[in-house]
Amino acid sequence: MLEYHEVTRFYGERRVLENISFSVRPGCLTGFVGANGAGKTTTMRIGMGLLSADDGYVSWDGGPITRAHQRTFGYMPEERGLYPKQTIATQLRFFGEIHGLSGKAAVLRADRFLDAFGLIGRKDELLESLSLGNQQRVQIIAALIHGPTCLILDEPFSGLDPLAVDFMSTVLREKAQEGVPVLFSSHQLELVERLCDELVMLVDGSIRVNGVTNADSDGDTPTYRLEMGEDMSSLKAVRGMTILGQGPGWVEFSPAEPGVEQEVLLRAVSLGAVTSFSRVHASLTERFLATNR
Amino acid sequence: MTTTQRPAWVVVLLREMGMKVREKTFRIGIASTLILVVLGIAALSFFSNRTENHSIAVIDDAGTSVVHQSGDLLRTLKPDSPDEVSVVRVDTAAVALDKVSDGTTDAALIPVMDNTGAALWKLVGNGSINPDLEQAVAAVVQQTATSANAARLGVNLEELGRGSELQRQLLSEKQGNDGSLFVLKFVFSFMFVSALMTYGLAIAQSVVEEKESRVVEILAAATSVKYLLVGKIGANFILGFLQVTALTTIALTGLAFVNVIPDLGRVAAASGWFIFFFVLGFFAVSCIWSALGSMATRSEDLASSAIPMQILLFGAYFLSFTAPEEILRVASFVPVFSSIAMPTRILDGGVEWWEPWAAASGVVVVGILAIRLSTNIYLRTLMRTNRRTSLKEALRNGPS
Repeated sequence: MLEYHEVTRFYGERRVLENISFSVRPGCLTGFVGANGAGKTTTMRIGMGLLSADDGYVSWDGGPITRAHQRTFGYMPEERGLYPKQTIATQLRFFGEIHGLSGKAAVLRADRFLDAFGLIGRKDELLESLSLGNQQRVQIIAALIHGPTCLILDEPFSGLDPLAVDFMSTVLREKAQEGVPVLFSSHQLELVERLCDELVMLVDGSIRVNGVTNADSDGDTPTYRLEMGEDMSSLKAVRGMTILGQGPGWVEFSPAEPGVEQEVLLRAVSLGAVTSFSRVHASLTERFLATNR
Repeated sequence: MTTTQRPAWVVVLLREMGMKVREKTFRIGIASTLILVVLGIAALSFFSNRTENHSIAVIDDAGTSVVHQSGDLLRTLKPDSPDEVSVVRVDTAAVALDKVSDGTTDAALIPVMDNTGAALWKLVGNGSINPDLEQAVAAVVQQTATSANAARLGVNLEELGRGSELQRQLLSEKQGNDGSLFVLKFVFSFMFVSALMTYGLAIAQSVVEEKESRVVEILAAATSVKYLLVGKIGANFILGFLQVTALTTIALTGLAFVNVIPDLGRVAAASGWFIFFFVLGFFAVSCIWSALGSMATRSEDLASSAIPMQILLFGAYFLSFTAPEEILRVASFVPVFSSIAMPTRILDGGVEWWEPWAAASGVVVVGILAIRLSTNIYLRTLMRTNRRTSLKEALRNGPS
């Protein structure tokens, strides 16, 4: 497990990270969101050992992280970090060897990935001749070729079409299922919400959200939505119910205390057929906007 | 295909070399340098072996005899490429002068009297007279007149000539600044400066390209940044060394083949010094190039960062064949300049045995300082991918 412990980082006089602490668990996809300049890339670079923390530290499997640990990680920088003028096969072999594989092992693994990713027929072409989506496939192979113990990916979905997004999602999920901790940043909040098990939201260098992606964001004041065909005006009589919104056939309310929502439901059932009753979760986008305003 | 793990610096070195030799601009660069070397040798051969034909108008047999003897003398002085002298016999001095005026002959040799009534020869040219020809004719005329005067006065010519022989000895091996030496300096300096420039710039470009594409982040995460530097410098050094060694061998073989340099042994020795100083200079210069690359963020930034280095190297180049002797002597002890200036002086001759070693020691000392400083700058600035780093910032801030 990769853990950040109260990490702080300055660029000159400017503090870009302030006491951030979070974990990237094995078998989990952890989404990392935040506005531009929030400190996501700096956090990831500290995790990879490319930058040092001015205060706090990062640990791996409970002990202090070392360069040797970090060299076993797979990393994808924010922009396309490959050699455009080199053939796909040659550069994958290079990235395999730079991660400590023998030449033979690097070629075998590269071929296996290229085959699985549908690029084996193009392995002798220059990288720049591929579409953006295919370049991103090669990029993820470069991060996976050495069998990483942890994956840190900066904007892996940026600029991808829906098919490529689906492909990348599948690959990341498979790696997580193999027990590899995966941390990735993205501005595609719906995707993060759908894909990730855990979420870390950074605002101006501080963590605002850290936990399960679909955790209730409304805390002690949940919101419920009830839908039925009958007239709902008599529901207002239930004590402790605050109506937040209302329309033909629906009402959204918050209970003053737990149990009030059950009373509302019983009253509704006595009035007629209830077609829907559920707790309302704010979407990640709504939570992001609310947090960053 | 290797089944064992290779050290990271070797992996980087092999990739850099592989990419470089596949580059079209690299191949064109090698080809043009080779063409320049071959053209230089051809020019040297052409100018050294060029044979001139001098036609001289004479009006009598005595004149014909002087001209023939002058031809013989020229053949003795330049046996490999003697100038030819031909006689154009005319009836009168006036016709001979007309031939010179209208360009039919290069000169006229006319008998005249001085104011004491003694017979003299006058060599007449139109605008100029070839100095070799003039020297040869003067020598023959003097010899002929001396013989005639000795016979007339009843003096033994051998006795008269005793003690007049000039012996020749050179205290140093310094050669005259003739045309062939100039061409040699030009070609050799160009070969080495272009290698320092080409491979130095290649290192800087490779560094900035990896920064620009963020590949450096993957590499720095996978291995030590020092290995990246070692691999890059190593690859370009090997290519540069192979290039200068191959071109020098080609140049020396070519020079031996055209046989225009009388003292090729010294040229070969000077070439060895060129290569020796290239090796020393390369490491210092390449580290500076890598630091320049790491301070830039985009390839476009590199163009302006590289200007001081280019001025320095081209300055050393032009200095090597244009500077006055004393300035060249000083430059031959100033590191970086010395890499070109000292071998150039060795080519000139007259260098004390200790001088190249003193200059080399200077390069090593400054090289070590440059390597330490540049490596620090490289390590400090490599991860700054968002904007160009000034030298002041690079020196002030610690590693990121």
